[in-house]
Amino acid sequence: MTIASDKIITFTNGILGLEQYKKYVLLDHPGTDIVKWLEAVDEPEVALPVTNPYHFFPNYTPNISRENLLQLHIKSPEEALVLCVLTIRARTKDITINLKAPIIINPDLRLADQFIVDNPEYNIREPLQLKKACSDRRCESC
Amino acid sequence: MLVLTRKTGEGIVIGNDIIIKVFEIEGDRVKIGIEAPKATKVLRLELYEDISQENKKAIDVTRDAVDKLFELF
Repeated sequence: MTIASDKIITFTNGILGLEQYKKYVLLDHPGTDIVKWLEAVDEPEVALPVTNPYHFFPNYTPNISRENLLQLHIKSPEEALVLCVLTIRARTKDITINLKAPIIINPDLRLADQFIVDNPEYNIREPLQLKKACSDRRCESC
Repeated sequence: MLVLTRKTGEGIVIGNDIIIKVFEIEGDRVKIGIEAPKATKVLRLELYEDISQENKKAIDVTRDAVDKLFELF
């Protein structure tokens, strides 16, 4: 598969533990707009499910320093696209979201990095109530 | 791995712009000061390892597993 270079997101440091991969594309998951995949350009086997944390946690406010944002040439927090990594434990259907280490993207320059936030209230494995979130959303649209 | 022995008040210089200083040693705890450029990530090793492991677990999530989650409702 050839990927248009204007779709590639470059990580300045890399996703933690996966620093050897710097270039990713953000792909849709068919049938839902809640989950997307960050897939490494050079290694399609490396793909992480991600989500917009505000969908589940509307008051999510990760503390990220101005210096860190400026590394991605983000001048104000509103310019940033925030994604969090999802993990699904096999069999148990338990799904967790990593609120402690969000992925911050500058959508214009397609620069990104994973930062660890110092908010003590945010966990690496925060349980996600998918069912609840979706039924709530349905109610809103009723 | 390079292993050095340092006393309280002594330090280590890494490259041009990173300084590590031993502030206090008390029992099995060492208080360390780190001076590094703001762009340099300074993380507690266990936190880095925990998040790394979680990211690697996320790679093992299959597209089928995500599909199954959405079949639940």
